[in-house]
Amino acid sequence: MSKNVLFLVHGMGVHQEKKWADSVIEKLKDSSKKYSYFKESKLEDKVKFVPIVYDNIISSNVLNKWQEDANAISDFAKENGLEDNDALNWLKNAGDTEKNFLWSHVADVIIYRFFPIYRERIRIDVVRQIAEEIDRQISESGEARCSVLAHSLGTAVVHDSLHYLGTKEWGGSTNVFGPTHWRFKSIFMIANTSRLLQTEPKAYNSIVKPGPNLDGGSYSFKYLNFRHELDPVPFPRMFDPVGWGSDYQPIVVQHCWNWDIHGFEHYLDNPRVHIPILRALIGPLAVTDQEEVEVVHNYKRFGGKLEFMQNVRDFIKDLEVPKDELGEEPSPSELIKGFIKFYQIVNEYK
Amino acid sequence: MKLLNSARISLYLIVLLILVNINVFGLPPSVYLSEEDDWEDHNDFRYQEQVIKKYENEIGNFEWGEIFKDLADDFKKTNVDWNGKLGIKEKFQNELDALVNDYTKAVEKVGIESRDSVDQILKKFPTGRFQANTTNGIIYFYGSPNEIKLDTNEINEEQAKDLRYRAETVNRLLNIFKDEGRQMTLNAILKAETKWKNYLENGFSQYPWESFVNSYITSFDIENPPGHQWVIFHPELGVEVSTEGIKQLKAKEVLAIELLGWVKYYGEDLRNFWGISGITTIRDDIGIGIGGILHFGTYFNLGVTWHDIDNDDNFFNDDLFVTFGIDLFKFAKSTSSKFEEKVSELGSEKNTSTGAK
Repeated sequence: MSKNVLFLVHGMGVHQEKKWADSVIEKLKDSSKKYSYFKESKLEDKVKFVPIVYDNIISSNVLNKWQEDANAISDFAKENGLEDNDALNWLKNAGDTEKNFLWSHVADVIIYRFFPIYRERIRIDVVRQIAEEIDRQISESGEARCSVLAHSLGTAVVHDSLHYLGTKEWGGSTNVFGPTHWRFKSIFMIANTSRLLQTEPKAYNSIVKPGPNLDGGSYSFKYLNFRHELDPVPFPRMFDPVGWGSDYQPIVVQHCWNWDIHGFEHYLDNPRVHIPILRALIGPLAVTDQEEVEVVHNYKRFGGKLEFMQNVRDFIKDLEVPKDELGEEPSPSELIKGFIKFYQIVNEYK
Repeated sequence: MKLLNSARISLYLIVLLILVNINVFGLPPSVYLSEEDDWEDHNDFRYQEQVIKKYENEIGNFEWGEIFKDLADDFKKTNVDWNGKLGIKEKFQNELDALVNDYTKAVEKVGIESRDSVDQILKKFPTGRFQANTTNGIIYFYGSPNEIKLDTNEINEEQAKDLRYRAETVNRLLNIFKDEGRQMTLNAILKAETKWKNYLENGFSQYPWESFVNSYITSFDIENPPGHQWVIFHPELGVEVSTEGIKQLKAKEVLAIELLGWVKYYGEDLRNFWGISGITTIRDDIGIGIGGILHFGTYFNLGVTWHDIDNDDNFFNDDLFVTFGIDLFKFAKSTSSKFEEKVSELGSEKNTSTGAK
């Protein structure tokens, strides 16, 4: 029998190699150790983690390339005393990742949302990585039991990619990865931006929703959507579908254990987040009801680095500012400004 | 006496609580759980490997109709005692019969049951019916009127095993049936990715403004990148060689700006491209030049330019220059050192090339 497969999809920022997921996997493994079921069976023995990488397309193939071109041209122009030799200076640190929030984070969102040719390139790359793993599982063990755990920008990327994986008649032939032939077990979205960054298909109209076997309009059995109350990223054009039934579960959390409340691991640390994930992956006995009550009850709103910080209340108050400024329907520039402001606040407090 | 009665009642309650606890908190046998893999007896005749072996010839001969019918008939004759739970047995039987009916109808519509017709059959024959929903225990035929949850309160262990063996075996067989279709789909996805890679990573490079414009004025989808691209105000380094005479051949680095151009991709997976652009070259000695450039493949481009060397406001009465454009990024990545050597070789005449005419 095959292992469960959990595809891990990163958000914005620098994630060029599969090892980006190491900290996420560690967080899930550590969280599982709190429950008696995993004292005998380790999570990693039950689940195969498959990190998906698409940032290499943005960083290596787009931003580095722009940077190299701009540098070569600017250097030549300067050496030869040409006028306007600084015209391409704005691209000169596009490929730098250190302390370069604009290019390492914001550019990811801009490129994905406003450069459709790169968007398609990213989508096909993600589709390929997922399809190859499903095929590998079926070839090796006769079946594929797959779920997806995505964060932030990755939720939009994986939403679009899954829709195409399941609906496109690839090469004109019947799509056996389509929902009437095969479906995902669970889709876990953290800080969901699939509606904020939606193009075609629209987030509510795609097949990325839960539904029964043989339903061509849905692609998983379960869909869990996690949002932090203070996180401004999933706030505008919030993902909040109506009428998706009981297999769709929205879960709102409030904990503050780290300044980066948007962080992937920060979300997973909360038992309200990792318990439903572990149960949907492994089964209801992964965490007993008693354990859940206990762990959730003991999980304080403020903990970790923030437990004894006097200025946490100011931090929370400050975080409301970018949220309010973003509003329900921000323009692209408001969106970018909001994200930058959020990270500025986080960095101030760090 | 009263005390004795109270003690007796308390004792009953304790025993009752113990029994309830065993029932509630005791683990059900693994056959009911979603992710346990130690419930199967690999020698059981219903176990998937045994069934695949049994139908080896039929699978080889693509006689899937026979296989599905046989599986449905076999469940009718099951040795497991379903008395008292015939409703659940009936649901499972309904799904096996539906599988046979759907397949028969699909084959009838396609007109032939063969390996070559599998894609046509798959269009009319949904194969996801037996995939279990294991997000909250094990549920078969989720959301259908025949939905069955493996539940210790509903069916006993033998019944649960009977369903699970058979459902997993049918699901496995359906995956074997889809093997070829899966390969076709996967190959098409890989091909689409190669085409996109060739277009964006191995093709003619694009600056941000070009990518942006090309995003909105070319047509494409996830499987098919644009077959062409527009070149708009595209700066690159190049080398201009004067054509005054073979003996006075002089070369100089220039900044070339492709003002407007068009690139066409062709060949298998859009591996190759050619293109044409109007160009202006900028150099510090004889000012700007104008001309055109042809692109051939990935690295080198060849064009001609004219400069108004004698300052008579006429570019075309002076000797023309041959221009080699170099697609910077590709070139730097693959042969940057060679390029530097080449340019420095050519540059040996750089200082004497002022007034290239």
